[in-house]
Amino acid sequence: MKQAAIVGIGQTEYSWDSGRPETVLAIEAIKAALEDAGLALQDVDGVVRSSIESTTPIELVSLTGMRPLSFAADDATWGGFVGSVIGLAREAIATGRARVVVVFRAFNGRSQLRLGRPMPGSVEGSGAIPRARGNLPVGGEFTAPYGVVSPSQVFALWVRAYMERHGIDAERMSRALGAVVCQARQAAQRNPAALLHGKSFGPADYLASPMLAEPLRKADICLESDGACAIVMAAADLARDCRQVPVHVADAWQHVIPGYQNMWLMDKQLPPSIGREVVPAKLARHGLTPQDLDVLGLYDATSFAAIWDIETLGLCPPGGGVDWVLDPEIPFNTSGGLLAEVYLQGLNQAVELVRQLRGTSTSQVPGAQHAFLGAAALMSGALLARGLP
Amino acid sequence: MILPEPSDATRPFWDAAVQKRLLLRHCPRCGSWLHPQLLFCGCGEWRLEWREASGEARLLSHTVARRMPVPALQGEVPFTVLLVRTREGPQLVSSLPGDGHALRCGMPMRVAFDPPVEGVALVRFIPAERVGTGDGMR
Ligand SMILES: [Zn+2]
Repeated sequence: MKQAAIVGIGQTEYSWDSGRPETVLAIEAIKAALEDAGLALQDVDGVVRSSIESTTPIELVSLTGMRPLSFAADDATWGGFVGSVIGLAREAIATGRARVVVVFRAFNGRSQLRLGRPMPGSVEGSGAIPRARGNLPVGGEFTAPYGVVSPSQVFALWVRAYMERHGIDAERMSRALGAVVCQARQAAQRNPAALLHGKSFGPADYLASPMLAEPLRKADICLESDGACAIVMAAADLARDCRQVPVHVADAWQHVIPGYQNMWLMDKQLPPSIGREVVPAKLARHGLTPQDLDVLGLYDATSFAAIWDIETLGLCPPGGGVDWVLDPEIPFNTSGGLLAEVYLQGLNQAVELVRQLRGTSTSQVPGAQHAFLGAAALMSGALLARGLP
Repeated sequence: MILPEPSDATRPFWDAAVQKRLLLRHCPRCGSWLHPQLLFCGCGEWRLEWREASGEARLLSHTVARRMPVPALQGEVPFTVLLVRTREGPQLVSSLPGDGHALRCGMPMRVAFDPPVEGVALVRFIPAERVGTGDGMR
């Protein structure tokens, strides 16, 4: 089985209004990632994306002068795609289906489709009172009439259930949420590409952020933003000749759990959990424990998600995430993450982890060797390592 | 305000709410109770029936909504969003006007029905201890 490595990373500028179509953003990010690797469009024989992506491999191969693709695939797990797309690319390389695979995400999430609002067509109507239709957990027939019209209300219901289970009061929760937000904002101050770069932010700013759905404030919710990023993966023999230090994709996985269809609102146990044994067992196959990880890329769609992921990873006891984030033993979301860099559903976290393992992050963890990438309550993830085995 | 747009599949639920009755789906094969939007039971049965539920529930979680991204609800904040688990099992989202409801996860809740607007009655859940006190929604 051929090993796979990330050999190139690329991104567009991140903005509130890109002024161009997502397909153009995608091509820009892909070209940047190939240039970073020292490869050309004609070297690419595989493309992997999320099914929530608007640009298709067919468009790319038709528009950009790529040669025929031997591998083109979608992941179909919404925001949980990042570990999965990297896994699909890794498996295509391992089986010889492809040698150079591009993975990308391009999203005008501010100027086109704002995910902080009901999906187009779900809440509307010709009468005086709008009507909600469909079975989406946000903005659907059984949720929008009661005020669940953006993910923030759903996430707030998760947080309240968590607080009750562990006896965490509002002040302690607020301190932990604020710590996650402040560390993301501080990372963004060091990352000139981050959307919130140049906007200083401290604990007092956190407490001044408007409450959306208690206990979540506006600052607790990820950005709605425009931009694209991409990674290039290659077979190990080719990766050794590329321009950059290869980042080995040691593992990548999916663990899609029931309840995702309704964001777990129909599930007894909130927040959703894959089980605290799942990720440690995967790491153990590589001789690692969660504590051995040098840097983490967590899916901070809300600040709470980072706290929850740290517990699910097994870095602290259940209910201990609120204390862990006050003094993190392992740096996480060092580019500013979804809260402060850009909302590209975690592919921007993958790009940042590659920078960490190359030693080129703006918040560099000295000597980082192993990085963990997780998405959507860790339902997908990847273990990345500096250099090839 | 936002009202539901019943589909052919969910219309019996909303029609019953106007009659102040809470209907849930029920599987005649395995006896499971299911959310009104589910069309199949996990046991493989797809010919589900509607059955009247007890109206009893427990509070699973709650949040006070203070800002709304849709104009139709902006005049109603703050209000309290609820997630309840009915005694039969299915979970429903609901809401109460205002904040300060002194809610506790796990507390008993009881179904209530709004007066119909444009022919639709929203289904609410209020703390069981307030039933009959005339202070249901507050
Ligand atoms: Zn059944």
